[in-house]
Order: sequence, then structure tokens, then C-alpha cells
Amino acid sequence: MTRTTSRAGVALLTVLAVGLAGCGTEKTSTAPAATTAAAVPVTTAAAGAATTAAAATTAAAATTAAAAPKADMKAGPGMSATEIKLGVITDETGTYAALGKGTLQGLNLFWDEQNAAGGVCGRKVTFVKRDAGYDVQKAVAAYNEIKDQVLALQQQLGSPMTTALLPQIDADKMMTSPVSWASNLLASKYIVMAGTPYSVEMIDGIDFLMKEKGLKAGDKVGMIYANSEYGKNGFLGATIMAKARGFELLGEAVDSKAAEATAQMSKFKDAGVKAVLLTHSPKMTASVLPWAVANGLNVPFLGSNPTWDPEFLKGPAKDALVSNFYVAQSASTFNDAAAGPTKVRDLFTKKYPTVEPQNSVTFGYGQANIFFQILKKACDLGDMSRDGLAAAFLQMKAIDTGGILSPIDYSNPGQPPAREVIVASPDAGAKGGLKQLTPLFSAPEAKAFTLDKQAIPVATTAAPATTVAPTTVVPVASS
Amino acid sequence: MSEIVAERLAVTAMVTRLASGPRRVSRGPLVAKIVLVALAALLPFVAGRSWTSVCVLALTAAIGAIALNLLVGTTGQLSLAQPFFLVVGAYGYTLFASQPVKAIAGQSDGSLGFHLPPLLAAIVAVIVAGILGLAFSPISSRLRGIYLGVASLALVEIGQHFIRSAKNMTGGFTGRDVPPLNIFGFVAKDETPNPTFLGHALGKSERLYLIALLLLVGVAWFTNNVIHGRPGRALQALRDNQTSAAVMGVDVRRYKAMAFMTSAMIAAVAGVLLSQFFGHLVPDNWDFDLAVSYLAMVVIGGLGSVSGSILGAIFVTFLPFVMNRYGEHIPGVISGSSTSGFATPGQLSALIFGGAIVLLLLFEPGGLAALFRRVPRALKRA
Repeated sequence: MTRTTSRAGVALLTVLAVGLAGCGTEKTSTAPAATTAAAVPVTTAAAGAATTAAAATTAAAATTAAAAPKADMKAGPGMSATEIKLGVITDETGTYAALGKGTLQGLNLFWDEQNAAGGVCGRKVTFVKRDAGYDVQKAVAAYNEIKDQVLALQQQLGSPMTTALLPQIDADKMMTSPVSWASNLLASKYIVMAGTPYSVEMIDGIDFLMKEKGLKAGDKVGMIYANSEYGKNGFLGATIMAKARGFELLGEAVDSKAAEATAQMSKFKDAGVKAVLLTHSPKMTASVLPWAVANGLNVPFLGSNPTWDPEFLKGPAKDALVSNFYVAQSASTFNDAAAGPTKVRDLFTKKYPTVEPQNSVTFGYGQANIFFQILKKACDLGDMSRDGLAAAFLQMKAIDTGGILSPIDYSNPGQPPAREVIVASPDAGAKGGLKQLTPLFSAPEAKAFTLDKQAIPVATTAAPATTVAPTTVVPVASS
Repeated sequence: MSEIVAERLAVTAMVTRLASGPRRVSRGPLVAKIVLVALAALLPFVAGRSWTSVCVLALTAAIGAIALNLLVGTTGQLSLAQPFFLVVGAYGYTLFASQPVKAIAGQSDGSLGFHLPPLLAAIVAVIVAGILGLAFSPISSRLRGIYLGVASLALVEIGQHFIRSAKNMTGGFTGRDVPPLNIFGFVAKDETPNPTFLGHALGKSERLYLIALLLLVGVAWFTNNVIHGRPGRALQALRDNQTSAAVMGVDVRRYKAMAFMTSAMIAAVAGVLLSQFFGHLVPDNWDFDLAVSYLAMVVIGGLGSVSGSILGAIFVTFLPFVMNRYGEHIPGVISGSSTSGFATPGQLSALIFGGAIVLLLLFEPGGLAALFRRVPRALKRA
């Protein structure tokens, strides 16, 4: 009898011990974000020369006049006189580990270089990195763990994780750069989307098919899209193009976790489609392309950027993938000849000589560059608090990443920040596995595209809980 | 031959167990427990802020693990349906507590909501989980072992389908905001500025931690009583040998159904807490992986033990975070932007996790609970 109770006592003791080991170690950053974000004057070591050197990498937004940081600058959390801490919540062990690894290498390449040149605002940038393993629960917990230690999130990998975090991101005013191009994220004014949303990406991709691959008005086009926000985004782009260019779109929504669509493909073949669009998973790509080859459906396939996986080139479907598959994305490929990607490639081979390169490295470098330019702008404006970052972010009208990413304009919140893409095709000979076929371009429809303003009706809070009519809603007046 | 002997031994053990009276708790350890819980309650205030939400996750996982252990460990019913009942708790609470939003053409699809007081909404969600658990009883009370495991997987898929398709209730892919829990005026949300307690902010995470701790104590106490009381002995009899349990007068199907229902309700409590932890629910969390991680907690902690469930939950929840934070200091672990090393902190945590399961199953099948039971014995011997 007493044994069981003492057992329980010992167990509880251990609970406490383990808990203390976890909880008891952090004593430093105890103030809530709101108070830390308030004005704290920080005197900085003058490092004007360093900042000008930093500006060399960026053609635009380099206002050399304000190179020296102001003495009475407002500072946000995670900042000291010599250091700025940025959060990175990535995936090194989960579904998108390859993507996480590549983008992180890109981030490191940029900031290592930039820190060597003096950092930003006279401070070196360091990461507080957490591996959430593409798990919503871990990502939310990791965010809460680091949110008071960092100024902003340099990377937050994954649409579901970022979507779950959106209310907190807004509440904490946490500037966040997601590895995701889902347009629902644009509803937050703290989301720094590094590239073209899926809908616009699809519009541009179809433009490529019509210009280069013989697709014309009156043709039938099949589309397999995921039954998710991502899939719907791509389908929206295709619908807009079908209407504008006069082709017939046969859309098939398929569950986002499904790995085959044989029935839908048969339907497309019988209908005589002239092209197939994919906004689904890499698994789906790896299953429908071999099917098309085996069944004589010899038409071009165009995929949104997540439909491609470098592993394809090692698998049995390799030959089927090389011939007919095109992928549209807003970041240049790793082996592109433009100045920006070439620089990334050189830095990569120097730093990671034994590592096999991935296309996402280039994207990661561009993502870091965007963040750097926002931080620099905020520094120039003399306000590095989270509010200051948000204000600087809205002023970023034309971010140039040297041909790495589509030109970016953040001055119109809620709308796509970028509208250009490149089209590439798989090539086992190319470093990173993709051969870039076009420079960055955008279709007229992409330039004209606007996302519907997400007018969110506000429920009346005045009605007491006891009234029988809690359904009264006051819609926000929309223009 | 040996089978018959084993059967007899089992029956004898069962008779002794069923015949033994209610367990008495001596006063000393009870006081110790109260002190420990009180200390645990002070934890977020004496320690730092950044780990509080991981602690909340651990406490929540502990409640979920206790629920699963009641099924897997005590009753011997393998269930993978844990994510489903977490979904019922989380989304059920959100649905019952939210205000409805009317559909407006071109602006909003509208969403359902019952606008119940949060505490009532939580209770209703837990009751709904109980009803659903009971509705599953024609299956859960007939099947056992791996068959029930596979059948319960269907519930996970149903949950996933429900979340993704019933958009006006769940928000679909983009998800839905969760109204803060309000327990008699103690609201689980941040205020500006937060009141302070012992010099530390009493924000959303701290409040949730206290609520979760309170619920964990309640659930642990309840489950402990169930396990060590008459129903618990009946359940264990069922686990050890269904036929002999039936011979002893245990209503097999009824007890199995009750165990499944109770477990579902406790899991829903964890679901309500998880919804608070998230603040915004998205579909991608509640899948098969979650079921496996709960199973891992139960196996690592120790089958059939409440304290084991708690230990297992803490181990599984904390391991990746501790590794991420301090793993870089371990020699051979990749740190910063360097490439030298055999694993990233995350990979190391996965390795330790896998290794712990293998080692425990080989050398101490009773899990962490049994491992820690050895400590006082070893101390006595020394």
C-alpha cells in the first residue's frame, strides 16, 4: 500500500525535476514582448563603413546617406548593441526536411557574408533556430518558446504551421517570412512572403505553355489540384487564364494526401487534353507522369513549385519526368546564369564543397536578402522596434534581389508582393536538378491580378451572452 | 500444460485482486503530493517564461496519455483513435463557444457557432466525445488487440475528413480561431499589460499552465481511483484473460465500452486544452502521427500506470525542445551554419527517442514508471 504511494511520490518528484530542468533554465528574457518592444534607446558602436559595404549586395533601397545608425534608435526584443537575434523555425526531420535544409543553407550563406561585411545596423545577425519537423504542435510551441528572444522570424516553414500561428503573429507584431506561397497568409500585415503566390504562379506558367508549348485557345486543359488552400489557389489562377485566353479547363480536386489520380487522368486522355496542370504534392507528380508516358498521353505538364522534388531524378520515374514536365516558381534555379544565382552558387561551393546543392538554397538566400533590406530600412528610419519594422516593411516598394527572386513590392498589403516566375524543367545534368528555360517574366493577366480583399464580418460583441439572438452580425462596409 | 498452469495462476491472481478491498492512502505521501503540486504550480513564476508553453503542451499531453493508457495499459485495448477524440474536444469546444458568423455573399462563407459560455462549451464538448465514444462501442467492445487498433484508425480518417469538409464548423484548411477558456472569470488570454505574480507576468501561457495542471491533477486522481478501484480490477482482469474475467462475473462488453467512453472523454479534455494552446486550429495537426506519438508516451512511460503516462508525456514532449535548445553543445552535433557533425539537434532527438523505446522494451518493459520505482529500492539497499 505504502509502496504504491511512495512510488507515485517519486514519480511526481521526477516530473518536477524534469520540468525544472526544462523550465528553470531561462531566467533572462522574462518581460513580455509588448514591453520589450517599447522604446529602449540603445547606443550603438558606429559602424558606418560596414553598413555601406553591406549595401553593395543590394542595388535598390540603399540609402547611403543614413549609413550610421542613430544613437537614439528604438530597439525591439532580441537586440543588443552588437547583435540582432532572428528566429528560424524550420524542418530538418519531417516531410519537408530537404526543403528546410536547402533554404537554411541559403539563409546561412547570406548572413555569414553579410555579418562579415558588418551585419546590419551595426549589429551581427544570429539565428535562434528550432526544428519543428513539419509539425503544427511543435511549431506553435517553438514559436512561443523563442518569441520574446527574437526580433522577427527570418523563416517559418510550412503553410499549416504559419496559418496556425497567424493570430499570434499579428498579436506579437512578429515580422515573419514563411516558406509558403499560400495567399491566405497575405491577410496578415506581418507576413513577408518571399515570392509569387500560387495563383499568380499558375497564370504565368500557363502563359508559358501558350507561348512556347503550342497551347492555344479552344484547347482542352486538364488540372489536378489538391483539396486544400494551396490547390484552390492554383486552380483560381488556371480559371482566370481559361476565361482570359479561351481554353476549356477540366479541373479535378483530389485529396491533398492522395498519391494517384488514374481515374482523372483517364478522363483527361479521353477528352483529348493538350496540357495538364498540377497543383498537388510531389508524390502526385511522380505518379501521374509515368502514367501519362505509359498511356501515350504525350502533352506538356506544368506544376506549381511544390510539385517538384530533386529526388525524382534518382527514382525510377526519371525518364518520364525529364521529357514533358515544367515547373513554375518565383525563385531562379540554382544553376541559372544570372548574376544573383551565380553568386549564390559560388558561395555555396566555397562553404559546402561536399554537399549536393538544391534549388531551395537560392530561394533561402533571396529570402534572407529581403529581410536584410527591411531591417536596413528600419534602421535608416531610426526605429528597430517591431512596430518600426512593420512600418519599414510597408515602404518596401521595389526590392531587387539581383535576379534571384521576382521583383517584390510590399507596399500594397493583402495583394501579391510578386508577380513574376521562371519556368524550368528537370535536368539530371544541371546542378540542383532543374534547368531554367526562361528568365523571370509575368503574363498581362498576372500583372492585373488582384486578390479579393478579405472582408471579415465582425460579430457584435455588445450583445450580452444571454440574449437569444447571438446571430446578429454587422458586416464591415466594403468599398 | 504450461498454458493451463498460466491460466490457473491468472485466475488465482484475479481472484485475489477482485477480492481485495479498496486501497487506503496513507497520509504522509498525500501531503508530499500536495506540496509537489503546489511547487509545480509555482514553476512558471519562479522559472522563466520561454518554456511555459512547452510545459503546457507537456501537461496536456499527460492528460491525453492518461486517457490512452486507461485503454491500452489497463484494459489491454489498443486504440489509435486518440487524435479523433482530441479533435472532438478542440473543434467541439470552438464550435460551441464561438459566435456564429452569418454568410455574406462575396465576403464570407459564414460559420456556425453556439456562443455558449466557454466553460459550458468545454463540458458539452467532453460530453459529446463521451457519446461518440459510446457510439463506437459496438466495435470497441467486440474487437481487441490489433484489430481494434486498425478499426480505430478509421476514426482518425473520419476526423480528418470532417475537419477538411465541414468548413462552416471547422474553418477548413484556413482553420478557425479559438475563443479563450474562461473558468469563473479566470480567462486564458493575454491582457495588456498582464498582471504580475511574484514578479512574473501572468499571461496566457501561465494561466493555461495553471488550468492544465489543475485538470491534470483531477484527471490523475480520477483515473488512479478507477484503476485501483473495483472497475479497474475488472478492466485488468479483462486485459489478462477475457474468458476468465467473464467467468468471474465481469460484463466484458459493458466494461470495454465504458473504458472506451471514459478514455474518449478524458482525451477530449486534453483536446479542449490543446485548442487553447493553439489559439487557431488547422487540420494538419490531428493525423496518424499524433496517434503514434501518444502511443509512444504510453509505452515509454509504462503501460497501466498513471504516473508513467505523465512521465512518458513529459519525456516525449520535452525531448525535441531540450535537444533543439542545448543539443548544439553536444560534441558531434551540427551547430550554427557548420556542416561538420553526424546529426542536427532534431535528428539527435529522434535518435534518442527511438533508442529509448528499444532500450526500455528490452530492459524495462514497465517503462519509465518502473524504472523510477527502482530508485527508492536501490536507495534502501545502499
